[in-house]
Amino acid sequence: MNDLKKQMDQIDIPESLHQRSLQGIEQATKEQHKPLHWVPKVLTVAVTLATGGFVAFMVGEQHVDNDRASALMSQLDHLSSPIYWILAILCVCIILYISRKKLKVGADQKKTIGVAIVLILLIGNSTIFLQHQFIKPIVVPAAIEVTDSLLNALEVRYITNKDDHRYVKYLQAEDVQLPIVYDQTEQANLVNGFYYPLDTSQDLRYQNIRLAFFQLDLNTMKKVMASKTVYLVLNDGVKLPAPIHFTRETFIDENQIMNHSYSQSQNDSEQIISFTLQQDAVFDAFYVPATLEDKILLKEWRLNDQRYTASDFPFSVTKGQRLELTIQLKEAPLDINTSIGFSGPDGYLTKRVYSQAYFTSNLVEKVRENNE
Amino acid sequence: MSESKQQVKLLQWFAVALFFQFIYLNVFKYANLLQDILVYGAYLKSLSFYKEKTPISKYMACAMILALMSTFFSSHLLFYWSTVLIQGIKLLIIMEFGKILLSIEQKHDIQGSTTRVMKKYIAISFAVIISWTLVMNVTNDWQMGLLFLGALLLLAVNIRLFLHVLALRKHVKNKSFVVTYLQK
Repeated sequence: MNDLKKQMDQIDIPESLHQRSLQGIEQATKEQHKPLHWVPKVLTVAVTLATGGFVAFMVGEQHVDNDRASALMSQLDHLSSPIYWILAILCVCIILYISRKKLKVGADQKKTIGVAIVLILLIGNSTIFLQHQFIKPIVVPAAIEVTDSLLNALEVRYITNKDDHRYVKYLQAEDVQLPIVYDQTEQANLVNGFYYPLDTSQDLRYQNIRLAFFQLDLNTMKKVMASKTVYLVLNDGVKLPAPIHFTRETFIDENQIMNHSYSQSQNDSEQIISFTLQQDAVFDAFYVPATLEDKILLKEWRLNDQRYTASDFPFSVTKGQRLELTIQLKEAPLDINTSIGFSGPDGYLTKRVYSQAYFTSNLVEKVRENNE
Repeated sequence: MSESKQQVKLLQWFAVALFFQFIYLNVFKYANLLQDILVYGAYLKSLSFYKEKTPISKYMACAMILALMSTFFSSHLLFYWSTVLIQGIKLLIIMEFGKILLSIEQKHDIQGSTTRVMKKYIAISFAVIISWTLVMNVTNDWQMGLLFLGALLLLAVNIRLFLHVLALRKHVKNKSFVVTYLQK
């Protein structure tokens, strides 16, 4: 054994060869360690940055409280979706670049490709997700007819992002401040640790449509109606303009023809109102409040199993006869709570129609466009 | 402790970690943290019987940080991201363990099925992760459906791997007994 060692030591290795072998070893160790060291780090940093960026955008949208920031946001607002896309494309480019580098270095190919695919899918989906978020909650437009009774109930709906934990605290119209009837704390809205508001009226893909109830006496109502703009105020003080159209047409109630009535909705866009008259009457027109004339259309009415349309005005109905009115509600982001029926020389034959717009993603887009 | 005994212990604790992982608890707040602590604890215990270097503990730290973040900052987007990323990291951990399993198998010259089982595990887990990246842009029913289906598939592959690990453990154990018997 020792002899062999001695012999080995005696062998003269040329200097250049020795150096080259040393270089080779060095390079080999470098190549072995290089990918392990920096690629995962860069990848982690990129992922963290991307996540942080998206979350920052997300959180930034929610908590814009002061005026300066909201002015800034409204400027960003017009750019928002291109910005998301630019950011997303940038992230995707970074990921592609890193994974190409990593593949060249010779790391685990399948793993790198898998990570890249997942990240690109996540970023793409997040961009679509962010594009559908609202900058600010939006109040659903409503047409509401006020009665002369002492207490009026007012139901207003508003659309918020699912992430948005704010809720409407009160209604404000100039100097009137009306608190919401069912004030919910955030705690009450936690279901299984996750936020789900209990007053949700419709659960959309990216937004919740929530209900706000108010009660007002006639005097307050008059003040609210007289004020130019009505706001819903959130718990953090942000004011949302509420496009609510109030009408108060007392002459309808005063000239009401005696009847029994009920209404039922046929489908999303049609409602049938049945009247049973308690006196003879003649009608010559279809009655809807002026603001809703293009939103609610007369489809037909039925008398003695005969169908009539708008060209058959005027017509007469005798006591005890049943009259069925079918109306068509145009698809619009609008909640309706008004009287609809017929009018004629003898007075009005109306029934209060209560309809909440059913929101599809199209309609949400429409509300958003109208709001901006 | 002899090498075989260490390997048996390693496999045993790995099986325990897989067992804790059977039911997907991420949809319940805080429950997932408890589960993570149990699972990662078992992983660490299992790794204490393995002398070579692996990046598993780094992965576990990342997954834990993500889980904590998504628990304490309630943002939908963060929840979706962390759901996908945590599942991805968990897959990476299992892949590392797969390498260990393979090395154990080779040491004992077992004609085992680790490669086959791992291949299926990786393919199905990857499909689930891909499907979960889509969760944020679908309706509620689809969201629930995708999460439920994914959890079910993960349960299935976890059970398969669990059974495989138990079988491997039994094999290693029996073999080590044989060795000690022969030495006597």
